[in-house]
Amino acid sequence: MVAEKQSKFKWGMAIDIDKCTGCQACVLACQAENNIPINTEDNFKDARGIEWIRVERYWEGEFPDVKAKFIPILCMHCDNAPCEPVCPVYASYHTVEGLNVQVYNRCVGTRYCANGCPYLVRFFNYWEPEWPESLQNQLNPDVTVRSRGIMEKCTMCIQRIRRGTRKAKRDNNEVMDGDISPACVQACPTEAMVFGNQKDPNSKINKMKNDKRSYTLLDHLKTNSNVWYLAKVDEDIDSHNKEEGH
Amino acid sequence: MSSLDNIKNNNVSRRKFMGLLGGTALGAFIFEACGVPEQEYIIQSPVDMPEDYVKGEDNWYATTSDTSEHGESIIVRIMQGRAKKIEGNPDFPITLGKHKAVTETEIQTLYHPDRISGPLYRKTSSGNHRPISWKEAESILKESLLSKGNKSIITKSLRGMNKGIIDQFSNAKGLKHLTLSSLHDYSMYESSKEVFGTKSLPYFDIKNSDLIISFGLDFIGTWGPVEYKNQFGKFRSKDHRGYMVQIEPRMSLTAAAADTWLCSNPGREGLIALMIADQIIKNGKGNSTNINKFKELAGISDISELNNSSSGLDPKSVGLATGIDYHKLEKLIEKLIAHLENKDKGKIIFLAGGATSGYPNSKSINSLVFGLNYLTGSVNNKGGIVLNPDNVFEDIEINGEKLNLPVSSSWDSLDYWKEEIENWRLGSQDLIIVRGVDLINEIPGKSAITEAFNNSKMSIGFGTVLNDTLERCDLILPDNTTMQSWGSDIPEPRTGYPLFAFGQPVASDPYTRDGSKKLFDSKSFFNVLLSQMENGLSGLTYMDLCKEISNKIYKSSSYNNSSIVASNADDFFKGIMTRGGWWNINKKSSGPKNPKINITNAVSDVKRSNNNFHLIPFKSHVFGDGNSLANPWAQGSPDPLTSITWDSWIEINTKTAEGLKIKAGDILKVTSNSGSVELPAYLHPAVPSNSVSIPIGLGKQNFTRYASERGSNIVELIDTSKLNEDGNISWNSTSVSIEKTKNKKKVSKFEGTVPAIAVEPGVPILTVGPNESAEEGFHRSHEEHLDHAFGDNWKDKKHDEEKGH
Repeated sequence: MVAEKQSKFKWGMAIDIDKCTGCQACVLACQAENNIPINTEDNFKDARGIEWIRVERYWEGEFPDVKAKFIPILCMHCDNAPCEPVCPVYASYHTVEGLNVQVYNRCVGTRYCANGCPYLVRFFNYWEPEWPESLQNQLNPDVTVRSRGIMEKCTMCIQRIRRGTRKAKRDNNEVMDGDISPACVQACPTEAMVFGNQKDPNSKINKMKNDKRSYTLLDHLKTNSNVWYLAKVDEDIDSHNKEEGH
Repeated sequence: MSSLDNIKNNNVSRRKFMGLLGGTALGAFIFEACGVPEQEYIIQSPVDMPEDYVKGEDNWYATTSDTSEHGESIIVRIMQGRAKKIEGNPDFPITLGKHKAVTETEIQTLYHPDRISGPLYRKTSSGNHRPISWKEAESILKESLLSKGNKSIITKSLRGMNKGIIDQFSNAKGLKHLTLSSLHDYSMYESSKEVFGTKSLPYFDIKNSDLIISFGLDFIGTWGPVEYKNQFGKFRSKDHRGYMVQIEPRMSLTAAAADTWLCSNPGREGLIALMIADQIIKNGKGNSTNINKFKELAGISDISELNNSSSGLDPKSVGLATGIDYHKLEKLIEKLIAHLENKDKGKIIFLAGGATSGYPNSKSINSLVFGLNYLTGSVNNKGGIVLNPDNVFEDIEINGEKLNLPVSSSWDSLDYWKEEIENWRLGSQDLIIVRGVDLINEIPGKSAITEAFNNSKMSIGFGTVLNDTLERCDLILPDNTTMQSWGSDIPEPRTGYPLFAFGQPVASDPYTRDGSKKLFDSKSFFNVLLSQMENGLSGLTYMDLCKEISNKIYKSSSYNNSSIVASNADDFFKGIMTRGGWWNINKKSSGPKNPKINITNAVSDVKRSNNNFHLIPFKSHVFGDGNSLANPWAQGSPDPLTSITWDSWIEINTKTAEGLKIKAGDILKVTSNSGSVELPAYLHPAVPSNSVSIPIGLGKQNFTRYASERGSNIVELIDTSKLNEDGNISWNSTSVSIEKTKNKKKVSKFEGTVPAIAVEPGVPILTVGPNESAEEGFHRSHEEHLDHAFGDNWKDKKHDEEKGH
């Protein structure tokens, strides 16, 4: 805890659902950046697709008053993460910068962490990941390819965080707000996703955290999530309330 | 031997040892007792393991995007010559550092395991292809071009220098250039140019608009540069949140993101546009100058002159004709009038395209909707339609040869194509060159086109991987991707000022693991064409032509105060390549030139037989017209609305399906006048009861290991007996019947992989009113859910509890 207080960074993310169009750009950007195995047809049929970030779609209402709503779900990097204490080998741990990460070569595949995670954002490699020879050229050398039997999950693109902080240190600069973006945040066409340092009082993420629309998922579980959502806006709700005199 | 024996004899790996300890109480005890120092965790983070340290530097290079039809620019992360990651070019005006999902797949096109390894040739149409050298291939190409008979070259729609080279090549060698793609938006492009008097599409200033009324244009999903998606985010995050209405017969991603989706009966949208015009004029809130301008351009004295239907233009009549609850239309008018009255926050934009381009009256309806922008004073104004000026120059002379640089896309009509295919069928075709299109799968009439194509004396195909058209070619030439080539484009739409995109080769050719040979031996399509030229362009490469354009920009008056400052032409060229293009934000359009609102059939009547359904085909948000499907990321990326992957499907309304005893995954036989296909059903509530929807682009027999024989090609269902006003296919005018077969299929989809994470049971996504906080929204949702689940009982109980009963 002392080290955590001393660290200059506490990373977090905010997602404005009102701006999310469900376009999947974040999902593919994450797969490309993090060497996620190809999700085959059978993977989906067996409910074994690996998506560190996924976009969930919900229908509300019936035709013609029907709405499709989207929400991207990724690891919440909880301060009080249920996946951490259950790991018998300390593969799942919390960094001093507030990230919940996975040490792949410690992981022995008990899957206790996945059972403990209420957000269902941990993925087990049931098979050895395979790419045809030519596609291996594209693999990101900054990110370990996980082998069979290993649990994997979102790291908030820790390789990008490391690169950004090292560069700032090398250039004798401070890490400025917006200097570091995980692949999903960088790709998001509508800028619905924002990543930043919660210890920087002027960071965008702090403003979004304090927005009146801000909330966290499954708040009642007291996981102390580091991913905030800004609720979707529906102007009809307002007119409905006014009509009824609320 | 026991596990402990293994440990004693040092036969166990570190991982196994950890596993053994982790699985026992002993393990927990040891770790607890040791109290692993916190610092150790930091050192052993995933990227800081010694074996994970990466040597070498990465660089990001700008080039053009392969998958974009708008001329977008990307940056590619390169390490040791290999492309690692694609992102949107942060400098470039129509990307702003963002990219679409499909853009990521371009890297898999570059490293595709089924790329054509080298030139292939067969002497007779029944023979097998055999590998030949590029020297032999180019000699065969040269000989084929000497033929005096009919010769054609077929590509996607091209602009700028790419079109200029094709025109030069076609003229010099006596070829006819034809363009093609499924579900293109030709009517929208043509009508907007006519209505706004410009040579290319105008720029839609979405972010500064306060009210967007879009008739079918899916600018958040399948159409438009990524910058429009970015603009939508800004439209939503202004101090006063913008309001958006989407009017179309199928819920697209734009409709899903809109505040209101008005689902009109296909073809009847023109009535809504006429109602809007009528209300603005009658209400007295419109500006008289704007109204007169609209009437003058449309050549009318009263809106009723444009109404070719029997319906009135009041909301009730329009509601009846369009199938929309008239209260919603009244609300739309209220919104519109409120914005007209609001001088500070009243910017309105009307958009058309997508669904409206698929009707018989496509040009009229698009012209009418774009024309509405004159009524609200939204033309060439902030938050409205911003006109694009002519580009800096429209042609360039190189060694005495004039190279045209057209600024707008164009597609040949189906009428034109039918004539061409008939010529092929009659055996009068000596040569067909095809590049970038899967001809036989993209226009209706596959068997007739295949037969006609096979009749050509010689056929030559350029491509990165084989498809159904390419495998029928006599000579197959492996093409470069944009990451291996020099490239250029004139983006469309531009952002209200002159703009060029330039690309460069950024990745090395990949070799086998042992380094003994290249994985594929490809060449740039345009360089191959240039190598065949015998005029002033002879001996020049695409890079030389890029330099010529760069020099001309540098010497022009438009260079001043532009995006790149350089002390000489060479530095200017380097600057262009570094930034991915050139632009000058100071050159704006002076206004429309000879605009005209030409409306002959504002309202169309798209008929369907009794018990039949309207067929609304659509492009997938991720794989578009199907050309990206060769890549596993495109196949494995869930469709945003249905979450289906690796397959095609038919969308049908949940309640309609229940009535027909259709369940999810049931295989349905879909039949039209033109043909039939079989597809698994996907049920959802956002499909109107009178229509069904199917994505295009699948159902190819031969298209790499990832896309061959997946899904069904629904182009075969499209009714081509009724063409639209431009002689093109009316994509949304087909009537189909559906019949349940005995078969069923487990569809590959993401939905159901994980259970929903609900904020509250029944309330998966927290939604608030514009002035409501998350907490207030949560309590309201909670009560609404209890209301819904338990009626008034829970309130009585709560009341009793509060009173201490």
